[in-house]
Amino acid sequence: MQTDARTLPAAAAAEQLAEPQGPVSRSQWSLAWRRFRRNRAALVSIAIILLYGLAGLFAPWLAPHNPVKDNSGRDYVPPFWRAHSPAGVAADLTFPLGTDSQGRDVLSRILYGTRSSMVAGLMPALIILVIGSTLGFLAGWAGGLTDQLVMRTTDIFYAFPDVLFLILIMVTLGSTPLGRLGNGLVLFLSALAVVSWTGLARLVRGSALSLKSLEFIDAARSSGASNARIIMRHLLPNSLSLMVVWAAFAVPRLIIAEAILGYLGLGLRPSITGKEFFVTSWGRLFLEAYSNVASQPDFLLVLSLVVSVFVISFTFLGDGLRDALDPRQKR
Amino acid sequence: MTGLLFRRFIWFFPVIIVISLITFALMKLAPGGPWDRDAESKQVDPRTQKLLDQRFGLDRPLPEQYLRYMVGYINAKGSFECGVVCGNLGPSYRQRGKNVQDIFFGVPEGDGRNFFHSKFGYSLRLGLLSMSFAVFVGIPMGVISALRHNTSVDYLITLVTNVGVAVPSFVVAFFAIIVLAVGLHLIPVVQKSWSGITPWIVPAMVFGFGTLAQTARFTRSAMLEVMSQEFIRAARSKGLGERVVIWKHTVRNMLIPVVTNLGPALVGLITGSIVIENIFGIPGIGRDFVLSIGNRDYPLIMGTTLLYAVLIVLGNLSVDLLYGLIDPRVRSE
Amino acid sequence: MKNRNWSLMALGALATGALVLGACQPQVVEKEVVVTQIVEKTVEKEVEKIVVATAVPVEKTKLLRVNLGTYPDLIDPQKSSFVNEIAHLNKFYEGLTRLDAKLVTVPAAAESWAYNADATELTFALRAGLMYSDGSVLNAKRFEYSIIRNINPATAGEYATITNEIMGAPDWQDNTAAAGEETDAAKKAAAEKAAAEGEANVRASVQALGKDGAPCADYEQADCLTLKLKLSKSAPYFHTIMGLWVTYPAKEENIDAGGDQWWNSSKYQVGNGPYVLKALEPFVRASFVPNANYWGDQAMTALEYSYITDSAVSFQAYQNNEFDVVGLSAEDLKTAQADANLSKDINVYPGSCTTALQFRNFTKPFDDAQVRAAFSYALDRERWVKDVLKGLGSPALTWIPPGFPGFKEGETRFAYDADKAKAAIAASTYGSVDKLPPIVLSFGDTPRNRTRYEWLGQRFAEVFGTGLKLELNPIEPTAFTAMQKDKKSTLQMFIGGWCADYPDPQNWLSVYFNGSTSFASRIGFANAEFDALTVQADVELDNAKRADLYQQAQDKLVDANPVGFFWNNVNSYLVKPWVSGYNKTPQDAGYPGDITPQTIDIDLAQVP
Repeated sequence: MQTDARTLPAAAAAEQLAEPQGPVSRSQWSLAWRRFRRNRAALVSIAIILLYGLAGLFAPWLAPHNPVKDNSGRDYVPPFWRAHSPAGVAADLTFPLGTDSQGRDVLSRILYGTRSSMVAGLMPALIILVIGSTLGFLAGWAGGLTDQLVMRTTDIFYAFPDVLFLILIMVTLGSTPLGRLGNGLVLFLSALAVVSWTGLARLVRGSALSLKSLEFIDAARSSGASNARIIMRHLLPNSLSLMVVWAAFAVPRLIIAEAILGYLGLGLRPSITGKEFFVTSWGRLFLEAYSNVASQPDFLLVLSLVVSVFVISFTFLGDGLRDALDPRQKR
Repeated sequence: MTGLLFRRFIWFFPVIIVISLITFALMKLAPGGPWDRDAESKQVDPRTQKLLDQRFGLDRPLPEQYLRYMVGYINAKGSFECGVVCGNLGPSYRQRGKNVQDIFFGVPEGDGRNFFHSKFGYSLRLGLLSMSFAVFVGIPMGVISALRHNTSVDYLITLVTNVGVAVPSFVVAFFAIIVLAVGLHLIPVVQKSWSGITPWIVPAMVFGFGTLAQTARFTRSAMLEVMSQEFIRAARSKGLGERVVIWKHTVRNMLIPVVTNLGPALVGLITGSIVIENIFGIPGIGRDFVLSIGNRDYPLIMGTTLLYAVLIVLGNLSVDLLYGLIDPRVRSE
Repeated sequence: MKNRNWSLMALGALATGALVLGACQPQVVEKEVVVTQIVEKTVEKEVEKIVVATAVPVEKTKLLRVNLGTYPDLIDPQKSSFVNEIAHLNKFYEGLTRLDAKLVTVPAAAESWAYNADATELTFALRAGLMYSDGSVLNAKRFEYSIIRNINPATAGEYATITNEIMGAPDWQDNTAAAGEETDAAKKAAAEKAAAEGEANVRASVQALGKDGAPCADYEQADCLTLKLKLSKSAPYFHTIMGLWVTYPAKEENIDAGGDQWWNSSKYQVGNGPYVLKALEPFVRASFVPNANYWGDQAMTALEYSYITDSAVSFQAYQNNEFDVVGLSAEDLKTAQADANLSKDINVYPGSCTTALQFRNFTKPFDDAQVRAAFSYALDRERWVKDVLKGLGSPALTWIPPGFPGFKEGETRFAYDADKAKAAIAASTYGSVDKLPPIVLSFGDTPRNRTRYEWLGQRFAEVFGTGLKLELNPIEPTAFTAMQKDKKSTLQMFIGGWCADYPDPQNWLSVYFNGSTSFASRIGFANAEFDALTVQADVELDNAKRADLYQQAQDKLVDANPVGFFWNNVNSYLVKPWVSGYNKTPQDAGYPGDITPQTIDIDLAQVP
């Protein structure tokens, strides 16, 4: 499982060499927006993602049942399109997508899971974007010893056992107010981000290296622009498309990492009342659905479908953004 | 290039030492010890625990433990027991009697057993096959995707390659078994033997899917990038056939960034995955990475981390070498 | 341009290399098989002779295929402690005694045994003409070696203390540990001396004797058939302990020859049990064939263990006829029951464990007996078994589980009663639920536990109402175990249990709840009356009286309610209809009937 955990955001540890050719101007932003609007797949994707976001946010109003309320004797109810589950239980329309091993409503749980998992995907991705791109730029831009130091630190972080680090953080800080924030999710995701920025850093460094040698940067430099200004005005916009590709990859990986680490006993705290903001997550649901797959295969199928649609939408959105942001695309 | 190699060689040791120090500190700080078993099974009684601590030197001060592990120590019989510096990764606490290097590279008994039947050998075979699958399917898919940019073919490929990463690998692996073994009876649910190539196909495909999706994605995006560049357009306008343009110029150039990705990915694949190993019953080292931590089997934690670190350093080095070889700008760096 | 060509070639070579290496390796391996076979032919012949001579001509297809789950970490009789490890050891080794299908201790390698008047001396008479599977002599000296090896602190076996009734054993271990810890030279020397005395004491207390009553000379001496043990206290249950895996007579010369890893090879695992370990392929399979040199009935089938840990996969493989026996998990039970064929294969029968909700009796609010009582009353055990365990378990209201000597039928104290639970809180020093301090229910965080504790938390909330400040606290499993052991940790209550090592009330009551044990002190249970009763029962020689004393002790235990007894586990397996003759016992380690594997048969006519 560590394999999956350790390669997660680094899965996109791609040294993709963006080779943009000119500074980004205001007209290019509007060009990008125009290009994006023309991409139908990306527009549909954004609609789907928004829909998921709303579903997660309004889960308490949308869910037909309390997501943690178990129903004795109503376990393994199949979804509405199936007459009987393999466990021999008949369908029941009060539970449209059926129930799990404890008789909890699957639809309600998936809705609540959407909420946590969107946060589980996005929050660490944002933290990683900040850490990873800062260090990557620093290394690529400064070069020399700084580059060496940063890159070897990356090697270190890449190789070191992040699960151990997470165990340590969760056990020592788990009972503090910080550990309870967001039912344990905030601490867990921050810790995850702290050990997962290496792939992006390498990626950004590669991009910065190749940008540094381009003429327009030299021009900016000789005209007396400060380093900070060059990075903010030229490097960052030009690396955007690459960060977008990375993020489209990292978000689903992070969502799944939450499941895998959950298997090792790390992550979200359980809920008794169902009143907490984060109650369960897709990752947790995957584990529950998988261990009950013989008695309730539809749960795993439905869940896989729900998560796949989200992930694929994210990929299409990423593609659309990448195309739109590509400075060389003239149309 | 010699400069790069030399610099990396110099850096190699501090990197490994820092990784070992951090890992050592983390595992000693993490609550629980090697004799704390799963709460539902029998625990080691305190008296035996004391004896075990003494036997493995766990009663000594931490800096001394670290040095004993890395450098070595004088054992009870008065002879010098060499540590990591000699390639001795220490005795496992859980699989008693085996040293960590025996766990990785030990060849099981039986005729015709060799390195490839060690746990590392199994993982290596699976990793290389998964990698081949990812590369030889992923790159063409990415190329086609880019050539048919924003058409239904492109969307279909995006869809297919992403199904494998959209759900956890245990789900993909299980569905593969249900369809291929239970439904179509093409393979057994549990493989009886791992010789020949047939038993490896399904696990390698499932395991390689993530890398495949990633490779296809990055190929597509790199290809689009290259295709919009001047020299390609120039070649096209010169009236060269589409196929010639694609193969002679585009693919060659876009391969560069894609292949540089694959170093760390390959390391990830050859160090295995507990999920794939558990579901398909493959005797690889992926489970050691995970179980060693749950078991607080300190030498095995250090061993897996160091193995991984060395592979990562080598992987990144070869990536950088290729990188320098390919892109003159970076080479001059 | 030149550079580029160069690099492309390199890339191409790398990619092809990867493919070739990956794809062709197994074939290369097979070629090498031929080579090594030629080289090793001479060696092989010798090995063959031995194996062929001992293997009974069993029809090739009579093979019992068992999915055992987790691969053992260690298969050394004097170091192992896990069930899956013992499931291997008890196939190719046998102790002095063993358990029969009714869990009665019966003769095994020993033909008979006798205690002296106060049960401080135990003498075994071995069967004459016992052999190892390779045909070599097995005499009492072998058992002397094994028992001492188990006690020897240099072995540091994880079950070493189970034989601590042997005179000198604790001294040898404790003083060795003390000597290792001591920095003061004089004290260290004193401890070493005491350890040496302990060792001498043990060596004098475990003695293999010949016909003439003199200590045996070596492992070849055929008339060395008496094993005499001196015990430090009366221990009328000790002959049962001498059937445990720690006494299995692994050969000293094999252990020496194989080094630390001797147990990892079928070559060195030469034993006296009903089976011979033919091949061991780590994490893939272990193959066993019947041992022709076994003194008793011959096993009728060969045996093969596989190690698939994923129960969903194992369940599918069973349905695909790839296994004859697999464990059945609670999640799959209902599906198996709903299936016309599978439902006939279900085997569910009592296990050997009791699990309880354990209160830290020294922490608030559980230092108050009424609060403990309230939480015991609040445990809806029937519903737990139905909802959570899916029927794979039975409610428990006492400590010793059904099927074991000492089980008390009809115990009803502290059975589920929501009203009594609330009344108990009202009667406590707190007076009402909302005055109770916050209660944290901690657990080792596994996916299965999470569901269980969510269920339990909701039941408590239902019984006690919203005033209850209850929190679930998931902890990484190993860290949780450490906290459970540490009296200073902040745990208030947790679920924990005990599984029988051997069927005797002593193993349940004295070993777990006597105030001097680490278990009882961990939860702060110390009851003078209970302790006195167990101490008295342990040395009582009259069986009826002894049973009665234990019963009184258990009665006191239930009354004191230091823990809320919760449930007993069950063994649950799917067994193919062509497998017959298995005796289901609570002590089964790997599959139904595995403590008496000789009676298991396979009807080949039914096998598809």
